[in-house]
Amino acid sequence: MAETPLVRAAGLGKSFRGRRSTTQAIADIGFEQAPGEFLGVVGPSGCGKTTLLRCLAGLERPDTGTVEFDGRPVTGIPDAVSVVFQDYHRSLFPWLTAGENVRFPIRDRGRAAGREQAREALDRVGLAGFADHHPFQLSGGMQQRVAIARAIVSRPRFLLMDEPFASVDAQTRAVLEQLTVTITAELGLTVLLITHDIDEAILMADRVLVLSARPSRVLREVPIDLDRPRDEVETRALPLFQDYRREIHRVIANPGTAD
Amino acid sequence: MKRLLGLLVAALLLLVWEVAGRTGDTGLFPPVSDAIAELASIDPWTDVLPSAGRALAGFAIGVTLGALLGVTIGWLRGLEPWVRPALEFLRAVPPPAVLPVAVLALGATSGMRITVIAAAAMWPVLIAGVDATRAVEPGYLDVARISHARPVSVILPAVLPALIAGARIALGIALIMMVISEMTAATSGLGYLILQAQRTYAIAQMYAGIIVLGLLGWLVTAVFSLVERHVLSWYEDQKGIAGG
Ligand SMILES: Nc1ncnc2c1ncn2[C@@H]1O[C@H](COP(=O)(O)OP(=O)(O)O)[C@@H](O)[C@H]1O
Ligand SMILES: [Mg+2]
Repeated sequence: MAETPLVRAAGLGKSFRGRRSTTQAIADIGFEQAPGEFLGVVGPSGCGKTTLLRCLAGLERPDTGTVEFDGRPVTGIPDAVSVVFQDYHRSLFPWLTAGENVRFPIRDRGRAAGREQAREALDRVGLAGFADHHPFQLSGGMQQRVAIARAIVSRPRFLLMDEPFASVDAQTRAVLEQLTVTITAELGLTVLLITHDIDEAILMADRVLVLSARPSRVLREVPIDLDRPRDEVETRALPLFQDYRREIHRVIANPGTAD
Repeated sequence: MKRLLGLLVAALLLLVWEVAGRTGDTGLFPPVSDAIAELASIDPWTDVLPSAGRALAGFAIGVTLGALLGVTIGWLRGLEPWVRPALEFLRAVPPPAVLPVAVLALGATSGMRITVIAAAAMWPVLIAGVDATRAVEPGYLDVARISHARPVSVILPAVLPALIAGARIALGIALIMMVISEMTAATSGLGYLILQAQRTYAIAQMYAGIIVLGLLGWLVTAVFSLVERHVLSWYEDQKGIAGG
């Protein structure tokens, strides 16, 4: 990679000490991500994907290894990082309207400017006119759109997404995948998308990081050379897509044979 | 229609009271019309207002203290093992039992009565605050952190419904403690008035005092509900949707 990476993780390890036992969530994860790159991270459920994301975002301190963002080690939570959390039920504030939720990260900017930016972000995710609705008045897909709007409103440089579409139906999911790719490309965002859905990773990402079961390490990095814009139906039908899918499945099924 | 039926039942009960009072000859149970006539003998400025003022002051202080302590104890998880047993014990003490202690320590003053009311009204809010704060969705706290916001900016709205539910219980307790505190070492107030009327066989006035107490309780509860509906409109709407 010629460009200097925006994100660099090296030798990340993290364990959780319980009363009786210690769970090693991630063993050794390292990777680099170029500015503007869309990185997919796949791995079996419980392998430590969320833990990895939390370390990258500065929400959790790794036991070993380092995370660098824009050339500086991450110790706290960097300003230019934002997160779409796994479960929108648990991350949107029910006491705020959609507009107020979106405005939350930029609440210190002026009222008028904040409102304008929140409106613009809601526009982008296709929720113009829903600013005054409360989250519980919106469908699951719409709530996840609000969460995405909130994550982009502060104009971050690095967007972390934790299985953002895991709890919406298949139709909505395809629409939201497209929407996310479009918006993040328009904004020139560097995106790290965590998912347990291999197809989703191939459809959206420039490169896929395949993690092993717990304690996780990187089994393989798979660059995805599929033309954009990619299509839910057409792209999936391509032989190359099938090859990627087969490769990733094999790596996960037989981690020992990964070369 | 339902409201009409309710009023009808209330009217019927009053009628029964009236008839029972007129037919009885013990003199201990006057007809309701006598009790209502005696309302005129109760001075709102000297009998009702000081009582209500003390109840509200005690309620406000108790709720504020309970909310502050509850959220703090709930938030500092490390603190909980240290304070939990003491809290459980103090909470289990029936509030009227501390009244003699308060009279000794603070004298028969308004401040003593407000203190007793506050000390009793604090508990339901404090306990609700501890539990609700511990149960705050960790996801909310993550969003606060990632947005560089102080945790309290999401904790307070998240626990507000629980605090208000606690405050509703505290309101009832405050009124009870108001009456009880005025029945000990007092020279004024509604509780004093009722006790005094009973001692002087001014039975109709005693009932008038009880009627005023009922009206006062009804009034503050109604005001509380109004405020609650205003502050928690999102919460009521959400419950309405979740409930079907
Ligand atoms: N805060 C925590 N305390 C204790 N164990 C945890 C904690 N967070 C995650 N774990 C454990 O670490 C492992 C990885 O969790 P997670 O990162 O959530 O996996 P994934 O997101 O891939 O499903 C799991 O076994 C989980 O139980
Ligand atoms: Mg996870």
